[in-house]
Amino acid sequence: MAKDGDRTGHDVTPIGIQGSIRPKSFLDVVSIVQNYYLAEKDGYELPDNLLTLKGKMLISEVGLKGAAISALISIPLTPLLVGVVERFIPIFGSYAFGFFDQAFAVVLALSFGMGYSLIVTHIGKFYAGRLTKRAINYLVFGLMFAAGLKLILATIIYNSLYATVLQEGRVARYLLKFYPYVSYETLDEAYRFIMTAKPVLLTSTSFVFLSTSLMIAVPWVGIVIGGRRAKRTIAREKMWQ
Amino acid sequence: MIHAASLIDYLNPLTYMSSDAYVLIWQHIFASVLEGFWARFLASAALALSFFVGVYRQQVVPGVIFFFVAVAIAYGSCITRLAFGW
Repeated sequence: MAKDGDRTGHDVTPIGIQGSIRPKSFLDVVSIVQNYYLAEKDGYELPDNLLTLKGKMLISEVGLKGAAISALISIPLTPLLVGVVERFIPIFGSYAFGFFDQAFAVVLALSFGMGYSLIVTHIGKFYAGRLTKRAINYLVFGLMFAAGLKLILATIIYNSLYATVLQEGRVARYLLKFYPYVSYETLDEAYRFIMTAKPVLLTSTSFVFLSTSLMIAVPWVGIVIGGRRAKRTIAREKMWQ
Repeated sequence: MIHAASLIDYLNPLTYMSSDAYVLIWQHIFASVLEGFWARFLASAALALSFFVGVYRQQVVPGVIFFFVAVAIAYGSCITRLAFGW
């Protein structure tokens, strides 16, 4: 695409999503967004229909998939982390842990979701131009939708484990099935551990709420900051032209 | 001349050390890597690498692998104790 009569400048040909590659990973979405950005920053008006309904869905799907993988990892890891913080589960082979160990457990539990959010934040530097903004918004909406689902799923899993699955009688009946293969003392120890560590699940619900809020907030902060920078860059480039 | 059978015997560590000594070596290796200073250092390094590779260099798969290495080192000792009763 070139401006009328302008054949000297570099031409940018924005590509429709389904016409080119089906975005499977975040990098595919970045290349689509970059393509729109390069066209729009030079002042070209891209037609709304370039980002079709299918294209929007495909971009949202990428954000959704990333957040869903993070949910699959953080839902089982969160009770482990809270268990470390509340001194029920050892980390680095010891129960006698200090501030570093507890902080490490918190960072470890937050890192997967935060890592994905930080990757998404990179795309903020292209947040300028109507269609580019729309594509980025759909990516982040997909991420937010999956993060919301993760919160609901985690709340259901942790609370149903606490209230129904790990009831005293049920746990005792289940553990007794291993007797006499496992000694009574070991089973008694396992029962006591489960009963004392059970409240960790309730704390985990609050922790998932906190981590999900961060996971949603971080990309928006990055996008706002990156968007301002992109506008400044475009204004500077126009000034020098 | 080295016979094939003697080479195989040499590959079996129990021909030149007792089974207790062999288990002790592995316990020492696990304890060195999964507990104490080196565990904390290696786990922190793996987590830092996972952020550097995954977020900064945007190579997601190696980033995820480093993350799991950090998790394995942090909780490895607890898991080996449960699995082997060490």
